[in-house]
Amino acid sequence: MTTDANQTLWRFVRLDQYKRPSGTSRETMRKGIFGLWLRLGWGGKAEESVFAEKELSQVPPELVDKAAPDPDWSAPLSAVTAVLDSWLDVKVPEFSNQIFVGPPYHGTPEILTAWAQARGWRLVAAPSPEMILTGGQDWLTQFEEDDGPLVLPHLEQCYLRHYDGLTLLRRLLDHIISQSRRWLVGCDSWAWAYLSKALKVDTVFPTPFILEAFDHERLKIWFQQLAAASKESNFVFRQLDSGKYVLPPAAGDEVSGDRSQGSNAESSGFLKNVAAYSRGIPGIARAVWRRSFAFVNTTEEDGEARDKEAPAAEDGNSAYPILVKPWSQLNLPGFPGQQVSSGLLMVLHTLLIHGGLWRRILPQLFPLSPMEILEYLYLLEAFGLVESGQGFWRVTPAGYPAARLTLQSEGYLTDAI
Amino acid sequence: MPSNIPDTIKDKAGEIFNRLDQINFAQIAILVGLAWVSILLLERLIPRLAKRLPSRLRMYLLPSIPVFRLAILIITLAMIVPMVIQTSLQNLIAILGFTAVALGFAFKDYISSLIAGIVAIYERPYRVGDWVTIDGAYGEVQSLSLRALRLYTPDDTVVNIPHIKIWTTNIFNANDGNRNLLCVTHFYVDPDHDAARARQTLHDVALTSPYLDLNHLIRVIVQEQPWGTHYQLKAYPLDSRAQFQFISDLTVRGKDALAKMGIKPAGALPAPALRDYSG
Repeated sequence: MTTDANQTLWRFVRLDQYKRPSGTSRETMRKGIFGLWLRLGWGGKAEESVFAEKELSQVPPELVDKAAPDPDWSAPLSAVTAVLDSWLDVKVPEFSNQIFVGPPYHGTPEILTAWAQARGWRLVAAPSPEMILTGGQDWLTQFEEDDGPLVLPHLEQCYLRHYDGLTLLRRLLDHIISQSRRWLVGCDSWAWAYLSKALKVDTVFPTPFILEAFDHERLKIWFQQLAAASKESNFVFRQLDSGKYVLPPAAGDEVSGDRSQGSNAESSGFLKNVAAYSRGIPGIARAVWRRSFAFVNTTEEDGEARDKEAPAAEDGNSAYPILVKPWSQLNLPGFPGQQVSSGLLMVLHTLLIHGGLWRRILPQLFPLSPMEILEYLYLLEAFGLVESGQGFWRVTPAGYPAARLTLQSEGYLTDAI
Repeated sequence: MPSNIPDTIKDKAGEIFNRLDQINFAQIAILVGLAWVSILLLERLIPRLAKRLPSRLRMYLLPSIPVFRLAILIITLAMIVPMVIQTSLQNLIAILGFTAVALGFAFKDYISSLIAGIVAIYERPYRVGDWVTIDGAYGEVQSLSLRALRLYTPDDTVVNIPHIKIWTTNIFNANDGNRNLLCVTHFYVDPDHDAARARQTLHDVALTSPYLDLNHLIRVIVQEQPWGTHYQLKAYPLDSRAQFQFISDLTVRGKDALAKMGIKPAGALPAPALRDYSG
């Protein structure tokens, strides 16, 4: 992974300069017509594949992990330093605090954590929900110990949408304003939208930064980097229907015939659709990318004809041509056509503005019974929109775009990204 | 049977109306049937469509029903009238004049309601989906026919109110074609407390309600009364249909928050509610 590639890939901009990538016009039309069809209840599940899943060979999970592994969040550290350059250089800056805002799965907390560890700045863990509801005085006293710089990667976990859940954050903001110590804060974009309305948090942090959107060009570089991270395997990604390359092949992997004809070497428009659907959010693009792997075109199964397209790498590593489902056949999570209940949306919205929530705290945040909340969570889980890990519920990366779209169309407060 | 109608009137009627054997009754019946079916479909399909599409579109779709219905009626009438009468300006004036006089005497209020119904389509004192109070009845306007509107009250009762009311009665419209409306939640508490803290707490109660529309300001009005302190928490829910859940949520959580602060409810009833039974 070169430094130049990293500099192209990771760049932070001011929040108001964030530009979402646009999709292909064909996809926009298809989505509009198909979306209306679903709304009217004449369709089945959103984005239903025309092929049954069983018709396509599943890519083994371990191979998916190799083709699109967890990203290395230490790569963007120089980009953080670059954007904070003038702030770090000045002894007494105009504002003692800086904030990085990012939508879910944008990687902001991970990047800030890695940056704090690399710079030796103290990391501040978010308080527990119980602490928040009691005002969090004990948690706040830790800031009186010294006046060294602090990194708080999860501002969204420092409040609860409860009448007792804002006191701690108000006290923290007072502390940040009144002290001259440096604070580097990360905040989820949904919490940022809510807190800007509720507590005017945008006046405390007047210059929020955000990771620049991952358009199809950036995704191309990033997905190649991710696939290359696996030293044991070489991957070639081609479109299942047209055979076009989704990612440009490395020189050794390209079929000789393709080069002369030039047609197959063209990359498909798939990544443009991924970039638009994921709203430029890398973590969501990666989740969609992983879901799009349809079929491993192994030489053992398909004989000579495929053997030409999937040459074994010269270094003796296994070569894996992965076929990528056409965009229109991707089975992405979404709400079914029928009307969505307000309780369901309420739960979804609350999960988003907190960046996920512990199940034990949910009954205190809703005018719903615990059983109703559980019912809604299971329903959302069945739609593929939320997931739980050890009692912590959050929106899934692949389901986030559909969740956002529905909440926006129902008039809920959404982030600006 | 000899006719009592003078010949001059017979002649005049003959000049205005087509002869019975010239009128295509089957065609008229088909037109009336088509209009009836179209209106029926319209009244069924648009509400269904409004339910499936995002809530914000509901306020645009539902009020279009009476406009479409009026259009269908006018088109049908425009097609039927030339089949029945001999179309000339003179004939039209005569027919309209006669109809106006006859119906005006017989169905004065009914006709007035119909005219008010047409005026209501253009002036829009209420639309389908609006929350209105008319003559003490509060509810959501469910449908508008040419003669009356159907109001659906929170007590699950349908009230039919003729449009004629718009000439004589004040119409209180809470949302006036918008999706959201202001809800006021009242708290009556003992005066011995920290009012600034109580006000902030009630503000936070609204701010943290999942029903709240954050695009509107929250206001807390405090008034000292002889019997205690009266707080009015004013905020907008996301959807006007959730107004009662919103008020209930604010009331339950507001009472809870005030109780945690040690604030007691007002001990006495508001003065106007007290009655003097001594005399």
